Amino acid sequence: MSKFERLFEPFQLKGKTLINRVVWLPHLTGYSHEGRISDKHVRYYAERARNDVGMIILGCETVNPKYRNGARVDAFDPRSVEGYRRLADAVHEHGTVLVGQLVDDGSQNICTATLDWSYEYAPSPVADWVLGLVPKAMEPEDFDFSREAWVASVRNHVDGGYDGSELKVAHDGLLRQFLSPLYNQREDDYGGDREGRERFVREVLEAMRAEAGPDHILGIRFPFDECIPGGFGLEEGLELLGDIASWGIVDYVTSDLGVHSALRFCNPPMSTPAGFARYAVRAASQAVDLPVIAYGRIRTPEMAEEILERGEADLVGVARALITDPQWARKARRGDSSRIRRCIGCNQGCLDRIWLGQEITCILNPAAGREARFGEGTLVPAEQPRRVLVIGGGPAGMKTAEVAARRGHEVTVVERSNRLGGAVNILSRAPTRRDFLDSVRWLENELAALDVEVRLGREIAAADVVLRDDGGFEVDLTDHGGERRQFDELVVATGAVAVLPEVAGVGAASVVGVREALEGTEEIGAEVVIVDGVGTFAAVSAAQMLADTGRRVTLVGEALETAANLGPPDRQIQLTTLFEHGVEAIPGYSLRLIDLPAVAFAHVLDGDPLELRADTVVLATGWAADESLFVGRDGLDGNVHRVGDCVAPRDVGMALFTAEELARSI
Amino acid sequence: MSKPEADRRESSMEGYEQLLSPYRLAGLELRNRVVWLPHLTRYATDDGLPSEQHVRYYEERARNGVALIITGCETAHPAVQWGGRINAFDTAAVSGYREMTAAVHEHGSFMFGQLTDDGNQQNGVGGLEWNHVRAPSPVPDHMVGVVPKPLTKAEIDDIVRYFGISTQIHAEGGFDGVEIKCAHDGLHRQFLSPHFNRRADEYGGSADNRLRILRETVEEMRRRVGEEMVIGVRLSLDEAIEGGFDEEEGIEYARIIGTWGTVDYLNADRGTTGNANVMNPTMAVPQGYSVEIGARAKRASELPLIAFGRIKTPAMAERILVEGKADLVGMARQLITDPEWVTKLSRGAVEEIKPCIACNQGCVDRLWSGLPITCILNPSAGRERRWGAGSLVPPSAPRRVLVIGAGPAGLKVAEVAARRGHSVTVVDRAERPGGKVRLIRKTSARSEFGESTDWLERQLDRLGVEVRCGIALGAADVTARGEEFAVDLDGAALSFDGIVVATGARPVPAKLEAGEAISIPEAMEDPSALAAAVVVWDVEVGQASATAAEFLAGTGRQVTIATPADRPAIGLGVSTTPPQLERLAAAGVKIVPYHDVVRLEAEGALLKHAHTGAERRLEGVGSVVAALGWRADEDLYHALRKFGGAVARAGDCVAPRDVGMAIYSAEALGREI
Repeated sequence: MSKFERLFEPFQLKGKTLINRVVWLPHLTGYSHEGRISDKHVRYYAERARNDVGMIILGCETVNPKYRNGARVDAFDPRSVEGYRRLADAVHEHGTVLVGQLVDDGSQNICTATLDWSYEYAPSPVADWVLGLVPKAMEPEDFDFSREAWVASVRNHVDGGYDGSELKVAHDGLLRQFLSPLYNQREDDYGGDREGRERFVREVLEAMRAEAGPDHILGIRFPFDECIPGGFGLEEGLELLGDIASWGIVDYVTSDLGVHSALRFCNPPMSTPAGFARYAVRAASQAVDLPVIAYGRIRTPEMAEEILERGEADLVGVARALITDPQWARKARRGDSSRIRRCIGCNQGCLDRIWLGQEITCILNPAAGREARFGEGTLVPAEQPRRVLVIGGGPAGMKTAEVAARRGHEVTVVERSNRLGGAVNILSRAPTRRDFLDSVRWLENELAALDVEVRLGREIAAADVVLRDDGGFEVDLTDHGGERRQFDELVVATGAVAVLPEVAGVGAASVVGVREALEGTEEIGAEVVIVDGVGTFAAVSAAQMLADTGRRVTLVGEALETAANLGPPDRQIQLTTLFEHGVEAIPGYSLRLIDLPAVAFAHVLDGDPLELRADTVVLATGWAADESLFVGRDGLDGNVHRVGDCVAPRDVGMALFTAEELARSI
Repeated sequence: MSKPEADRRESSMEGYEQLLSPYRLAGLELRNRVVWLPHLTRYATDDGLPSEQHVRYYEERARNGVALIITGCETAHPAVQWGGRINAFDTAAVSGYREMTAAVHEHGSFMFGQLTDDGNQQNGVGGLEWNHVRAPSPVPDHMVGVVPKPLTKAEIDDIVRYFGISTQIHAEGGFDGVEIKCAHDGLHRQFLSPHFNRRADEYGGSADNRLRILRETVEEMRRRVGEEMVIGVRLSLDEAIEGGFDEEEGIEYARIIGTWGTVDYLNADRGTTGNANVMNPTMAVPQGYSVEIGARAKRASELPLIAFGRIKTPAMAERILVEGKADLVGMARQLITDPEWVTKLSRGAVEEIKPCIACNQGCVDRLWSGLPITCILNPSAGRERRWGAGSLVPPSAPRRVLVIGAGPAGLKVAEVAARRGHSVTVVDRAERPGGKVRLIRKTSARSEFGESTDWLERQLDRLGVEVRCGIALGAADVTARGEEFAVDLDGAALSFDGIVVATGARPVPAKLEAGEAISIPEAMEDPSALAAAVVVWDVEVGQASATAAEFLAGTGRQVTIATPADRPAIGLGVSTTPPQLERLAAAGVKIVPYHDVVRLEAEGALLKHAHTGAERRLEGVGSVVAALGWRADEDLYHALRKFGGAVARAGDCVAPRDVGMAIYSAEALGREI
């Protein structure tokens, strides 16, 4: 019997049977092709439907023709129906219920992405973002326009064979803006008290129900708390939800919290605790008599089961967990939940890319969005099993070993340190980055399950590798010639090394690399200056960690923005948390000289000098491929490969992607 | 025809003989010397193929007499992923190419393609088929910042091969020539650069070695298409970055290329992504700033040369040719702004040419953001199907239209409506037309922006539209009388069939805990009331606040920008941000990030940290200029709308946006009324 009894109990939703309680939450993928459902969409959703997901909600389809952009599906356009049908067939084939989420963006988008420009409209001329556009306050014709667009969109969903439609009244969307006392400052019938602010939501819902008929599921995604000053709080949020439920039009609610200016709630990073939103979900379940879908960094089926068991929600929604592991539910059902590849909440493959207008994937699951190439059924067993030696036990090396072993190769991984995981072991020492460790622990478990031989504490040098006449290699796996072994393929995955700036004083004893600082291998003084030349997580997470241990930390960045290379949601979140941790951030200065305790900088624009005092200087000034083992072997023969940061220093996502690619080609 | 206009017509044909004279380029008989320079449009389909938008965009310039059109930035290698670009290596592009070239040829123009591999100037993860970025050496591009992997010899050969394949596809697509991008972006330039190319093999070191990949590429292209096609090189003649190649080396490269005998022409270029101002010069850069360097390249290479670099007036174009500094004159943005440049010149109407102001807002900045380009002054750019030549339809009945507000939106509505045959009157409460452009142009580095409204004013003058300034019209001055509006215009009673409100935007008022803050318009209209040391409280972090700070620094004041954000000018685009920040720094403007201004006291301004709340004093500051954003000035619109009847609005009084949106909305409205 499954240990997840509740999770795999069927559920009735408006006459439709959900095979279990797992809901894939709506999220934008960017997979549209010219505004339509693409083959990529179909494969992406079918892969999860096939693996025991009860209900799938496709996210963020465009209701309003004025907000067209290439990344989303044009729900308003009848030409989208054909694609809907293909998608619905592919999902229904596996018994999964399919709902599409609709959004009219209001102030939370730009209407100039195509060349068909228009003014963004919203209840009132209040910008959503700190730096956002002030919308035009809606006029009577805009109300008509929006209402008609919602109706046309739900018609297309019905015609396309969707089981339901979800209205985005959520962290984004015009309809939430109407409910919000901050964004809705109207003095007419559509503003003021709750009834006034709810009026347009009700009109839209009524019109959609009339169009869609009584059998079509209509849900809403709803933030119980806007989590911003002046917005509605939890108490009012639940009252609004209660009112909406009382109209008898809506069939379920998908939980949500926050708005764009409070992204830590709606795009929670790994520093946000798993299940952080349960308090609000529970409150909503108690407040209304509607099926409630839980959300909020629910990473494990164990937590999902607990939520159901305690009656906190009727259904459990996950978005990223199913991007990372399409078999999340299947593995749970089969009692293999320990084999689930957990989402770490890094946002690098999914949310960051969406904010940049790119198609999403998952840095831990290269098959996400690439199902045609890497999805289920695409892994071909090796024609002839070969002996593969992987040098380097970081993400790239481990991933190569994993995929190669799955294909039937006989794989050995040699790692110079005494632990698998490479740079991830170090970078995840910062408390805000701790979950990153799960990525390499999962790989480690898989390697064990696949019987990959792992040799720790052995550094292979070029001289240890002897090329044989038959194209194979002989490698000494010990450091004393004690174990000469034969291999057919050699994979170099030696990672990257730190690059130091060419500045006087960098060689001093109290100047340390950011990795050493995170590892705690070097002594760090009470006053720390961190020099950030790259603008990634390394410097900001080290700054937070050192500040938390009572040190006075100044983070000096060479870019004019602190943490410049983080994705937009993480940058917003990290900037806030940096200051909460008491770090002083000084952007726009480049390092000139270290003469401890003095550290001298010059402003990148006008050269203005800045002198700081430090006991320890931490350098995060860039990386270079560690190609020492590889150089000279390139082109030697086809059996020497390299992968990951030793090709060029990139992120874990690139390391895993290239590893997946390589291991399939060996 | 008015007298001055008749004079202009007579004089203008002469004086441009060289510009309008034919030129023989490697066997092609160009009808004049005007070349539309290559530029990325991002009009390609999601599949990376030519679109109908491409066809119409190019056709419109061909119809208007441009001799040679070069497409711009087509991807030559599958490892490069950029949305909105044409995949030149894909045979599926051929049919779209044929439509493009047929449309251009029909009007007597020639068309070349431009091939590029971006090397380190892309991140390799734009789509989902990720690639390690590869380049001559592991040196990151200044803008992209990704450390590339060094190319192997086999990979270099593969790239060369793909340039050949792409050239072949262009031949099949009906192109007359192909150009290799060895320019401000492009792998081939990275090989020329001592900063980016640190190789020790036959592709690095000496000038000949660094040029090797370019030479091999040209040879491979020739091998594929023989002498059938013109082959050119767009060559950056000066990288203009620390450690890069300078002008002397650039000219030497040009000389060597000239000796190969395989290249038919050089298309001059300058800079890289490490120097936005040289690569995509804004209006702060002098017109014709690269003519001399091009002339040197022409002499050194003895190849036909296309001049480039903020060339916009026929007078300058003609002078370049007369002085023998180039054989052809290239323009990119000027022909985006006015497709009829050659037509107007040919019919003697030089004054009617709509000048490009090099604001980069509609073109360069959009393409860097991954968006399809247009022109803020020419809404038909990229929208030729909707608004291109021949699309302006006369109204069913001419009407009398009152436009209230003579900013960009008001002037543009008036222009379009008058062109269609309406009888239009424009009023403005200010003493001069121009709206917010009057403020923008006060900053010397942005003064060319004024040409936008100057051009509109000239058009209105020509179209007989009356513009009356100094009249503050209120709702009380208007009475609805049936379908008509009776308006008291400075004592005279006039009747109109419709009213367009274009009253612009007002600054969001600022309230300090102590002391007064003044707004950007107040500060720029009359800076004399400001103290010698000023803090600009920049919450807007857009163009207006940066311009105001720059203007005030130009009046000799010590200016500090305090902003709750990381820095000012966040709302600007990729090409306009670095020059703006550099100009602010050069003017002595200091930046205090993460702070708001809360009080103005006798000793200075009190700032408060936007995150921690910690206070800090700016000693000696005597004035606070607040830039908290803008609000639509929409009261008059709503008041008039109560009358019913034909009342509409355009521009910032709908919602505060840039001049581009104002002009776009005005074009749409002007065609609708």
